[in-house]
Amino acid sequence: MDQNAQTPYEEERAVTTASGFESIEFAENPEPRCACMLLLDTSGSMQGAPIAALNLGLRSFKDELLTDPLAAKRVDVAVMTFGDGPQLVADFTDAANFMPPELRAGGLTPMGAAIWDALGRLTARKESYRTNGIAYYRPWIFLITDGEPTDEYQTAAKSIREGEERGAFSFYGVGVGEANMAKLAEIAPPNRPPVKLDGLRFRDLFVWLSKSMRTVSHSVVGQTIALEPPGWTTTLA
Amino acid sequence: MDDDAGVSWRFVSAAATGTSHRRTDTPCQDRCAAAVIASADGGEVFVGVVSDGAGSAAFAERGAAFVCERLPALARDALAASSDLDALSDEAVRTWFLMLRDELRRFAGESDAELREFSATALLAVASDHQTLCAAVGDGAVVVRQGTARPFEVALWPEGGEYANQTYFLTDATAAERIAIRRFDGVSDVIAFSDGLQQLALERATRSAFEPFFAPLVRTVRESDAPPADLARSLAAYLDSDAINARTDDDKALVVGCRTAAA
Repeated sequence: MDQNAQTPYEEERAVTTASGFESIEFAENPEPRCACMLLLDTSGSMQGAPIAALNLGLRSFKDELLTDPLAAKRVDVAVMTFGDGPQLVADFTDAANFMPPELRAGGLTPMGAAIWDALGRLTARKESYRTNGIAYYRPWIFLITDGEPTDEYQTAAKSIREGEERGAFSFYGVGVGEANMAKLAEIAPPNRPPVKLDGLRFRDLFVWLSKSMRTVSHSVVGQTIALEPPGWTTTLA
Repeated sequence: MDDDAGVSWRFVSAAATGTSHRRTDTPCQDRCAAAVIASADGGEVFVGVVSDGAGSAAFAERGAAFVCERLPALARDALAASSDLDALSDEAVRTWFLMLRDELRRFAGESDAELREFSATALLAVASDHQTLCAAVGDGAVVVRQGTARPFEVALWPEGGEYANQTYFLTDATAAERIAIRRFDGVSDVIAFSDGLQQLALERATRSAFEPFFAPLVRTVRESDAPPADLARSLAAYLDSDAINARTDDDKALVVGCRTAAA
C-alpha cells in the first residue's frame, strides 16, 4: 500500500464521522468514556493457533469488563485489524455493547496505514464526546503484531510519538512470536517501550488490559494510575 | 456543620465516602462546611465551602479539611462588621485562596511534607440577602437559583483540563491563574458540590444544571422541619445510597443554602 502521499497527521484535520444518530448512544449512556482502540495484526502469519488465541482473548476482554458495571459503561472499545488492509471490524461502543469479532488471518502487515486510520478515528471519537457533552479519560491505543510493517510506517510512528507527548493518548505496543521488536520500538513512545507476549498468552494479556481499563475508568482527579504489572510478557533478549 | 443557624438561611452540608474508597480503605477525601455569619450591621451571610482532596496526595483529606476550616474563618473575619458583599472585592477573595496555599505550605513544612501532598480543590459560595459571590479552583461546581420560581443555573462550571480524571488544585503553582469568581444579584438558593456528583447534577451537553437533581434537593431543605443535625444525617445517607453509588464510586460532598426570606 502506498503511504508516501501521506501528509503529517494533525488532529485538526481529522474528519468527524458524526451522523447525529450517534448522540442516541450518549443519551442512553452519559457516563464518561475511556476509549480503547485495539490495533490487531491479522496478517497471514497469524493463521492457526495465534488467531484462535487472539479471538479467545477478545472474548475474555469483554467478559472481564462486564464484571464491573461502571467499566462496562465507561470503556469504549474499537477494533481495527491490519492484514488485508486496515479494517475497522468494530467501531467504538461501550463494553456492554461490544461484540467481540471473530478475526481471520490473511494478507500483509499494513501497520502504518492502520495506525493512521486509528488516529483519525480516535480524534473523531473525542470530537463526538465533546459535541455530546461526554467527559472522557485519556484514550488508549493498544497495538499487537507478530511481524513488521510492510508499508511506510515512519510518519505514523512520528504521529504516535507526538500524540503521546501532547498527552492525546497512551500507546502500548505488544510483539508476538517473531515480531520485529526493533521496528515496534521505533513506533512506541520512548517512555513506554514495546513488550513481548509470552507465547500465545493472549487471554492473560486481555485480562490485564481489562483490569487496566477498569482502573483508568474508575480513576479520579489527581490520582496516579497504578497499573498491575503485566504477567504475560517475556523478557527481551 | 455550624450551629449558629440564622433566621434568613436554611442550610445543610454532608459528605460521603465513595465505594471505591471504601473498597481500598482510603479515607473520604471530600470535605464541606456551611455556616451563617451574623454581621454587626444586622445582615446575615451564608457561607458554603467544598473541597476535594487529590486521590494521589498522601494527606489529601487534611488539605481538604484545612480549606473547609479556613475559608469560612476568613469570610467570617471579613464580613464581621458588614454583610455588604460589594465591599468584598474579587481581589480580596483571590487573596484568601493564595493565603490558604501559603498556610498549607507552612502546615506541610511542619509535618516535613511537600505542599502537593495536601492537594485539594476549593469551592466557595458567599451569599447575602442582595448578592452572591462564587469562587473556585478546580472541579466540582456551584449552582445558584435567582428566585424560587426560576431555573437552576450553573454559576461555576468544573474546571480541570481535557480529561475526566484531571483537575486544578489550590496547591498548584498556577493556582492564581485558575481562580474563577462570579457574582450574582441576590439568589434564593446556592449549592456547591464536589466532582463525585457532577455526573448526576450537571448536563454536560447543554452545560446546564440537571433540574430533577436540584429541585427535590432544595425543596427538601426548604420544607423540612427536621433539626439541622437530622437533616444533615439524612443528606449523608442519601449521598451514600445505592441510587447514587450506582452512578459514581467517588467521594462526594454537597452544601445547600436556601434563603428563607426569598421563599
